[in-house]
Amino acid sequence: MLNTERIRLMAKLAAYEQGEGKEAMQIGQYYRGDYVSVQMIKTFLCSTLAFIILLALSVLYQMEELGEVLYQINFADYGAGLLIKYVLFVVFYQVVAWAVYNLRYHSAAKKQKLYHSRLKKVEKFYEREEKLIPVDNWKD
Amino acid sequence: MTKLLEFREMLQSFYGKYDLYIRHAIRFLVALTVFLVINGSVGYMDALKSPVTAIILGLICTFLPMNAIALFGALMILLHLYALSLEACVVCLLLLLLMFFMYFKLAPKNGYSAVLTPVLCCFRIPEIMPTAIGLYREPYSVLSMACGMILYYFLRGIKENESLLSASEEQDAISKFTAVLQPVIESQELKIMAGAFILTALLVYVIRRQSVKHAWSIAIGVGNVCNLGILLGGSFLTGNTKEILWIVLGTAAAVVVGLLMEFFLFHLDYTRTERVQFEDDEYYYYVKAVPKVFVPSKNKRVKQINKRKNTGISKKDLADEFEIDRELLDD
Repeated sequence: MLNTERIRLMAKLAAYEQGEGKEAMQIGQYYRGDYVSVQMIKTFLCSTLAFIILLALSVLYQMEELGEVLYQINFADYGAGLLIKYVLFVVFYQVVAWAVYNLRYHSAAKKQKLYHSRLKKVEKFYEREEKLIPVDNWKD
Repeated sequence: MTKLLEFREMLQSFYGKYDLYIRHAIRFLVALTVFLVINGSVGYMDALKSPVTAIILGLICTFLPMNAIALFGALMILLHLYALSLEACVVCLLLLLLMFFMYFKLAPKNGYSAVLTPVLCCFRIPEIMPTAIGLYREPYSVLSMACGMILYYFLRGIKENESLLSASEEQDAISKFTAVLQPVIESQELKIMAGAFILTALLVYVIRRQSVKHAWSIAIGVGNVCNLGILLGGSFLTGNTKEILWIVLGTAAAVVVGLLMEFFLFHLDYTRTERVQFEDDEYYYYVKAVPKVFVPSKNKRVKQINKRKNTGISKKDLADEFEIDRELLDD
């Protein structure tokens, strides 16, 4: 006889494993500190690339004007200003990344907890069914 | 109202039955619309411009995740722009990479909003987006909407400067770069619209999360009045009064879409609200429970042929089976 409650739970588990649980399971392999650190390093690289692109776009846009005032630019001041902007940009992204990935880890941990509790329930169902098998056999 | 509720139940049960096909069909339609809109607005490469290409790409996207539409759309735009001018293609690539590194790296699941915003802009009803995002998504999704708007204004600027960009010999590359970026950087319309949409979406989100009666309806009303006010004010300030009719029509469409979303996602019966209080060791709870409006489908008929059997075996059954006294099994 099929145990509908167990099958329902198993369907939920399978849907989770193949859907939203994929990401949560990957995140669950790390400790919180490790996961957030790795993501913050990736975000640092991405924000650096984004800053370079922003700089490139700004140079492309102002190229006509830059050609005329190039000889008036104090490159030391310009470089220092650029460095400050870059640091502020990267720090802002690091703060955002820290918040986002901490939240993501927290939400994944919650989902994984629910997943494991369901898994335990399924195990209990199996144990109960195994105990019932000999009785069924007698009936046959 | 009962008829409408029955219709909703019917639709929900229909979706539940054929969700796999419906989801694929919706994905195909969205992909096809996106590719046709791209071809219609910046279709400079003849080989890609054909509707057959759009259909084939749409079919491919049907079996891929939603973000594939954004990826294929981006590639399509880049190829079209390459056919027009290398400068436009380079700037577009830089813009797309910038969006990816600055936003989509952190929120990769928001490709949908970024794809739909420019499409709705082309249909001149982008006002739907802030209401829909405020009602259904998280607040940070407003940034994907902003990315979509930047892309739309960028492509519109390219179309407006088409002749300048395609004149390969007369114009130098520097002025082409400036012409391509100007519509995005200096457009007052884009700034006003992006500001209005972000504010509206956040307002709708904040209000709809409040524990007040008809929170969704109030959110839709307040959000759209605010949106309409800012957009009309912006139009008068910039002297762009030609768009007023479209702004009003777009806002009306946003209200209709918002109410439809409320009907399908958040239809509550406030007359049966229950308030309960209880406590545990750490907290005191004040709970307000509002039941959803639900009308059972008329077609549902349950015919019981056999009484459900118990899956386990009781002591009585076992005793009868072995023809022994039941008390013997008590140990």
